[in-house]
This record gives sequence, C-alpha cells and structure tokens, in this order.
Amino acid sequence: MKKNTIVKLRWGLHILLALPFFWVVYLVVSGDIGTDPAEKIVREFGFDGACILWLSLAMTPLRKLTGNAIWIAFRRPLGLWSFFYLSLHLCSFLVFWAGLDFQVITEELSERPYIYIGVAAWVLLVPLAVTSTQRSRRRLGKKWNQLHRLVYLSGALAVLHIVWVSKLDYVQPLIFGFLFIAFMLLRTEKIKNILRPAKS
Amino acid sequence: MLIKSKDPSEPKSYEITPESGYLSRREWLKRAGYLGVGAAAFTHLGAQAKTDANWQAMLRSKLASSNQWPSSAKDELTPYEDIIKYNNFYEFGTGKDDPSRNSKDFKVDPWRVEIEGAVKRPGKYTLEDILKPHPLEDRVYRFRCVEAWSMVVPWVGFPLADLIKRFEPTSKAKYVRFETLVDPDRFPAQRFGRSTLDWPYVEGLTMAEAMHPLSLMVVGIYGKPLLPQNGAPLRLMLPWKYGFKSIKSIVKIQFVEQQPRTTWQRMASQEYGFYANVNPQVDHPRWSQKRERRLPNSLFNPNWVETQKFNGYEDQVASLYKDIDLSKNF
Repeated sequence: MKKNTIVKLRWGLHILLALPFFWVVYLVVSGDIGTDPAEKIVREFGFDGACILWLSLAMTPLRKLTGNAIWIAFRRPLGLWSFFYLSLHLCSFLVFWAGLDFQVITEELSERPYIYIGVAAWVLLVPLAVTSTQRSRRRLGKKWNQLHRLVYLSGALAVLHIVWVSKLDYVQPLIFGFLFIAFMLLRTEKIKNILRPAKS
Repeated sequence: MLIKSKDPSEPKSYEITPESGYLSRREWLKRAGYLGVGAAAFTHLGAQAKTDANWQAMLRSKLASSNQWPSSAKDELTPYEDIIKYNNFYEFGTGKDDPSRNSKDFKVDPWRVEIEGAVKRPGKYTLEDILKPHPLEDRVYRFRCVEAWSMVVPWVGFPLADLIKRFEPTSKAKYVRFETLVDPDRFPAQRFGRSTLDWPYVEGLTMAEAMHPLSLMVVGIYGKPLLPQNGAPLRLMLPWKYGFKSIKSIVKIQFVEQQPRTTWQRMASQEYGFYANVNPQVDHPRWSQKRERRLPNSLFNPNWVETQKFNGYEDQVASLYKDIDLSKNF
C-alpha cells in the first residue's frame, strides 16, 4: 500500500475518533445532556474509551487474519485516542461527578472496588501513552514491547470495572469480556499457528 | 358496599382465557413472528371502552379537586420534565431515557387489578372500582433511588390503607404482595430474548408497612394523570424506602402469610433486601449510601445531599422497625 494512502487513512481515522468527543460537547451545549449531566458524560466517555481501546486490541489479530500490515498503522492512533477518552472519563468523574469534593472522592476511591480498579486500569495506560512515540520505541527496543503488554492487564481490569459498575444489564459487560478473551486468544501461539498465512 | 362493574359488555368469566393460556399463546405467536398481535389479542376481553373511559373522566375530576396534604416535604420540587424523562423502569429498557422513549404506545385501557388471598372481598377490580370512593391528596414526598440519586415529587393519590380496608383482610394476612403487568406488547423489554429481570415484577410489604399512613397509592403527578414511564395507571409510593419498592403499573395485590420474595431480592439478595429502608448507615455492597445526588443537578454542581435515615421520615416510621436489626434486615 502506498505511504500516501496510509497517511490519508490515518487522518480519516483521527477525524472519526474525534467525533464522539464533539457529540458529548454538542449534548452539553444544546442542553440535551439530561437530568444528571455528570452521570451521562462519565458514562459516555467511559464507553467511548473502552470501545476504542478494544479496537486497538483488535489490530494485531486483524493483521494476522488478513496478512496486511495496515492495521498496525492504526494501532497507535487508536491507543492514544482511547487514552484521551479514558482520561476524560476519569477527569469528568473527579470534576463533574464528584464535584471535586475531597470527601466524596476519597470515600469512593477507597471503599468502592470498581472505582479503584478503574483508576488502576487507567494508570497502566499512562506509561504507554508517554512512550507511544517512535523515538521511545527506538530507545527502549525490546523493552518497549514488554512494556506495552501492560495494555492486556489494563484491558482485564477494565472488564472487571465494567462488570462491577453495571447494576444488572450484563449485555454490555458480556460483550466487552467476550471480545477481550477473543483478542487474547488470537494472540496465543496455538492460534497464531492456525492463522499464519501458508508459507511458500 | 363495594359494587363491582355490572357493565353488560364485560365478558363473563368463562369467556376470558385463563391468564396462563393467554400469555403462553401470545408468546408462541411472538416467536412465530406475529408481532403486531396487540389489538387482535385484546378484543377477546370485550368492549371495555365505556367502563375505562368513565375512569379517565373520574380521575381528571378527582385530580382537579384534590386536597393539599398538610405534611408535604418542604424541599425544592423537581421539575416535571425531569420526573417524566429520568426513570428506572426496566420493562421499557434499562436506560434512564428508555421509559419515556418506549412508552408512547402504552395503553392503560383495559386494566384490571386482581385482589387475592386472605381477604373477604377478592376479585378483579376495574380502575373505576379502585378509585371511586377515594378523594385524592397532593403529597410532596422525597424519592430516593438505591442508585444514590433523589428527587422531590408532588404525587397525587390516596392512602393505601384506605384501599386495603375495603378488601377486608383476615387475620391470616401478614404481608401484602404486589405484581406489575407482564405484556410484551406494551413493555418492549419483556419481548423474547430481551429481558434483564424476571417478570412479573414483584414487591411486598408487611401489613404494618402497607397500613402505614405514609404508604400512598398514586394516580398522578403535578396534578396530571400518571404517565406510563412513572407507572400508569396505579403505583405505590413509599417515601422512606428505596425507589424500587414503590412498584409501578400494579395489576395484582395479594394478601399472604409468608414474606414475599421480591424481584430485586431474587436478582441479588446480598445487595437488595426485603425492607430496603433508606439508611445511610448501611452501604450497598458496591457503593455508599451516605449521600445522594439531588436531581436535577448541573455539570458543575452534582448537588450532593446527605442521606437521612428513612429518607427523613424517621419520626413517622421508626416505630415499625424498633425491634429489627436494620443492618441485617436491609
């Protein structure tokens, strides 16, 4: 594939990934954000971040399945955009949902497992975002790959967070959980051998 | 003297399909792909239009002449728009906006309330029967959801105790068990393959709780008839308990000896108990109950309010629970 095409596709991806953010901004500005704005915003950004993170986890399996390396070109934008949304998710939780009330924050953070599991999942993404540049990759070499495997732990914690936060509707958590397991399985040696395109 | 409807167009009991057969036939039709069965399936109940239209007129007239309850809450009222758009009513879907969005075609015609169990006057009552002798009261109650948000709602209704007295419960009646309508036509989330809760939605109270002066049978909000998303045509309001106890769209009231197993108890008994009294000292296993978000709030002000024991109705209801350990019996 031409480099030009890859660049165009990446720009297109950036525009698509920015849309959910502008959607939330639109809801707030138009007053259509509902009766409990913070609850809705935290939920929206969390869902957006999780979906995009899941997309980023799908890139390697897609490369294996299609034999095309283009997917890897999308992996970093997806990872960074998911970090963007998940950071907004955490910030809106602290600023809008908790109202920057110190007592609310410390109580919720310490006593509610789903909150500190969620924070842990986000913290694991920080070094990944920081070392996402080409320069970091060159500097860290093999260690870069090892470091970025933290995304798997982050994803697993995210699944727990999503399961624990829902009152009863298990459809969404089940889908996220099932997909996560599928993406992990697609990376294991056995499955890699099955999927590897036949060598001449 | 209670007069049951003698409308000649009302079908004789032998003409009415027994409920279990009716429901399973509907389910079969659904699975076979016959989706718009609704109207056809209801015709076998006969022409109820006359009786139920009477009820609509009666309700409006009673709403217009309701009395103000002297002990209404003094908190700031939640606007009507928020009350009708932010709801937990899983029969319509689990989103907060699902009930208002998915209830546009919800019909209250025809509606029957079955009274069963340890009473001298059981039977199938029309809405007109239920409402007729009761003047209505405007009562502003605080409403506290177990999810830790709350509203202040001007309900219109009459004391549940006054309704119960008419059925003449016997000494065997220790608990009151309520059921919500089951109807995949009117409740989209009850359709095949889509449910979250087990249906019908069941709730229960001790006789003492049911007969308490605060227990309200509600027919309206802000002087208007109840909308489907708020539990039309009849719902309970128990202001000292978490909102899920205030069962909506009631079709059955049974008087029983055993404590009923309620829906949320069945789904997660370690999280939702039978009493479900508002209590900041007893946290939900997954979140705190010490405070609540008073709605509507705004982006920069979540409007956290300290939760009060029994939602601020401690003086009126504490005596019901003086011998009970509230941390165990939540």
